[in-house]
Amino acid sequence: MKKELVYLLLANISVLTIVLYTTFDLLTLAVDDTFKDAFTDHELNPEHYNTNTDTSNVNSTALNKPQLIPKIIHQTYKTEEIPEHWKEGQQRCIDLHPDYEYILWTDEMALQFIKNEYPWFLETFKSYKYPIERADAIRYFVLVHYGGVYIDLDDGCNRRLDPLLTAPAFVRKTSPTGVSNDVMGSVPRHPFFLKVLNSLKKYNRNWFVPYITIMSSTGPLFISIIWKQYKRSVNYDANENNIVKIIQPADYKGHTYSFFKISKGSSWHLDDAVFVKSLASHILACVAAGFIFAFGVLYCEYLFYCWLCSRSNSQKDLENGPGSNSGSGSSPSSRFFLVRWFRKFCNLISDHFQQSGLISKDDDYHKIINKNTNVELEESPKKQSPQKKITSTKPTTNNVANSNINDPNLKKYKRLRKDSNLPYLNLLADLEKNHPELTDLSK
Amino acid sequence: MTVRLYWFTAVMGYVVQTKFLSHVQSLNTNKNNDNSTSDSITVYLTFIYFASWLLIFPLSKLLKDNSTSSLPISNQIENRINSENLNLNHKQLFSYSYFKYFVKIFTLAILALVTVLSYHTALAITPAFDVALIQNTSKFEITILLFGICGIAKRKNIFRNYVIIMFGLLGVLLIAYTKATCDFLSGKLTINQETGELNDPFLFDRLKGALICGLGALTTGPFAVLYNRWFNTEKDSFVKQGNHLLLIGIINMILLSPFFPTVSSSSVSLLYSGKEFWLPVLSSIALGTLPHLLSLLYLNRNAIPEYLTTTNLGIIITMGLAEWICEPTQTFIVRWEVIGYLLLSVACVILSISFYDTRHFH
Repeated sequence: MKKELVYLLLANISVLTIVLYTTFDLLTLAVDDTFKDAFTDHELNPEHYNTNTDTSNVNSTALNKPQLIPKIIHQTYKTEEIPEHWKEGQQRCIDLHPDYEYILWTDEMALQFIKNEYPWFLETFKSYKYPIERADAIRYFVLVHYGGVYIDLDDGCNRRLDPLLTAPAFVRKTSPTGVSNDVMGSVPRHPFFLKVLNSLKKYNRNWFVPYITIMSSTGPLFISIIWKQYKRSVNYDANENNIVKIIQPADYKGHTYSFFKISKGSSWHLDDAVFVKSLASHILACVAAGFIFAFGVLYCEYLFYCWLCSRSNSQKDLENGPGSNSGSGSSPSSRFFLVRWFRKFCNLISDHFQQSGLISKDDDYHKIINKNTNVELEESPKKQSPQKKITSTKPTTNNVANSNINDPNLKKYKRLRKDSNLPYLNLLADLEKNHPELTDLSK
Repeated sequence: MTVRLYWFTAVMGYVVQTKFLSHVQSLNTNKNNDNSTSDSITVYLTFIYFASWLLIFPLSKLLKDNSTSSLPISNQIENRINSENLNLNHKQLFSYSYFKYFVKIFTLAILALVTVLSYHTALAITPAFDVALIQNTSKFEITILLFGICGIAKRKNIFRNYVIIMFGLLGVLLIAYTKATCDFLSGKLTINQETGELNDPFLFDRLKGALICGLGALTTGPFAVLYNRWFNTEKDSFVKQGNHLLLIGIINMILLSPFFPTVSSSSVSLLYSGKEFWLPVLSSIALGTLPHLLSLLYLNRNAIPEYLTTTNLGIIITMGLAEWICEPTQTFIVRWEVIGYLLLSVACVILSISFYDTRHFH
C-alpha cells in the first residue's frame, strides 16, 4: 500500500474517531429505548383494573402505588399577564387540581429565586442570550428544590395528574427520539435532575444558530442527552427511586385518556427555527445532501491522493535520472513529463555545443553524443565482441546510451519501457555506420 | 450497441423490480399493521430475491462473452498448464483452494445480504422513489470512489469526471428537494395549521428508511471491488460467474432461514393465498430482478467497471419517469425539478460516453 494512501486513511480514521467521540451522546439518541421505562397502562389507569374482576396479570401493589411527587404545579411566563390563548389551558389545570399548590414563575421571581437559593448559577443564568433559556433553566431548579410537576403553558390539562405522581421522576417522550422538557415531574433532589443542574454550565455554548443554541444548551436536546448519560450511569437500575419514567405520546396528547390538550405553542421560535422545521418536509433531500457532501469530501481526498502519487513519482524519476523506471504506479502524466524533460535536456546540450563552436548547427544529434562520450572501446582478447571500459564512476545519460546495454554495471540505468529503446536503436544504427566491426557478428 | 442495450435492460429491470416489490410491501402495510409481520415479509421477500439468484446460473449460459479471445492454441496451453497444476500436490491444493474460495464467497454473500436486506426494509417503510434515489446515489458514490482508490478504474481525467459527477449529484439533490414540493402541491403532504408543522405521520419512517437504505447500500462498494478482483478474471466465464452468484444466493438463503418461523400462520394465509401477492412477486423476479442481474453481469464482463456505475444514474432518471407515468396523483412538475433531471441526464450521458470502453481479457 502506498504511503500516501496510508496517511490519508489514518487521517480519515482520526477524524472519524474524533467525530464519533464528540457526537456519541447524539448518536445514542438514534436508539429509542423509551419503552423500557414507559408508564404502563395499569399505572396510568389503575381504576380500570380495580373495577375489573380479572386482575390476575397485574400485581395489586402496582395498582396501589403511593404518590411520591409533591402535589405542586409549576408554570413559567415573563409576567403574570398570560396570553389569552393559553389562559383556558392554565385554568383547566388549576380547576382539575384544587388540592395542588399552583406556582406561576415570572422572570423576576426566577431571578430572585436563583439569586437566593443557587447563587453559584447566577452568572450563567444571566449570561443566557435568549430568555427562553432562562425559562428552561428555572424549571429544572424548581423541580430539584420543591419537587412537583412542571407544565408548559401551551399544555393544558385534560385529566388529573395523580397517576403520574407515583413515579419518582418522569418526562415525556418526544418525536422522533429522546425526551422533552415541556412536561416533567420529580421528587425534590432527584439524582436525574441534580445531574441536569450540574450539566447546565457545561452545555452553555453558543452554536450561532439560535434554534440549535437553545435546543442544546437548555432545551429538549440538552435534557435528552443528559437523560441518555444518566441511563448509562452504573447506579441507574440499582435503586428504584433513581428511575425516570416516560410518558408515551398517546398518553401525552391526542386521545381521550391523554393527560394534556395542546394549544399553539413554540412562541420562542425565530426564523431559523422555521427553516430547521421546514427541513423536515424535505427529509429525503436532507439525507441525500448528507451522502453527497460526504462523497464530495472523500472524492476531493482521492484527487489529492492522485496528485500526491503523481508528484512523488515525478520526484522519484528526477532522483533516479531520466533513464530510470518509476515503477508500476507511474501515471501517464509523469511519463509525458519524462519525455519532455529528456528533450529539454538534449536541446540544452545541443545549444551549449553550438555556442561553444564544437559542432556546427547542421551536425547530427548522434554525433554530439559520440563526441562527448567518455567510454573507450577496446577489442576483446577473442575479438568476437567488443568490451567497454568505463572511465567515470557514474556515467551520464549519454554514455549510458552508448555503452553496452548488457553490461551488469549499467543494467540499473537501463530503461525498461518500449519507447525508451528509440535512442538506443538510433545510436546503434549510428555505431554500425561508423564502426562496422563492432556490430558485425559474422566475423 | 449490445452493451447499450444491456445498460437499458439493467436500468429498466431495477425500476420494474422496485415498483413491484414496493407494491407488495404496501399491500402488506394496508392489510397488517403488526411490526413483526412486516419484518417477516421483508425477510421473506429478501429470501425470494436471493432464490432468484439460483436462476442466474442456467440463464448465464445464454449470454455471449465478447471479452475473451478464444484462440485454440491458447486453450491448449491453458489446458496443459491446468493439468500439470492439478497433478502437483493435488490433495493439498484441493482443500486449501476450496477453503479460500468459500471464504471469498461468504464475504461477498454477507456484503450482498446487507445491501439487499436494507433495500427491502426501506421499501417497507418508504416510497419506492425515495428508496431508488437514495440507494442508487449511495451505490454510485461508493463504487466510483472505491474503483478509483483500489485501482480498478482508470485514473484518467479524474478531475473533469469529478466536476461532472458533482453536477449530476446536484441534480439528484434538486430532484429530492423538489419531490417534497410536488407532494405538497399534489396534496400528498399537508401542513398542520395549528402547529405549523408537517402533517406526516410517516415522516420519521421515511427518514429511517432513507438512512437504512443509503447506509446499507454502502456495502455494494466493497462487493463490487472484491467481485472484480476475485471473480471477474479471464478464467471466469459467464457460467462460472453464474455459479458464484448461485453459491452467494444459497448462503444468504441459509442465513435468512432462521428468521422464517416468526411469520404467524394467520397472516401467511391471509396474505399469500391471493394472487395480488404472488403475481407482483413473480413479476418482479421475471421482469425485474433477472434481467437486471444478467445485464449487470454482462456489463461487468464486457465493459470497464466504471461504466457500470452509470446505470445508477440512469435508474434515478427512469424511476422519476416511471413515477410520473404510473402515479395518478403525481401531476405537478416544478421548474427546478426539470432542471434537476436535466442536470442528472447530461451528467449521465457525459459519464457514459467518457467511461464507455469494452473490456478484453487476454
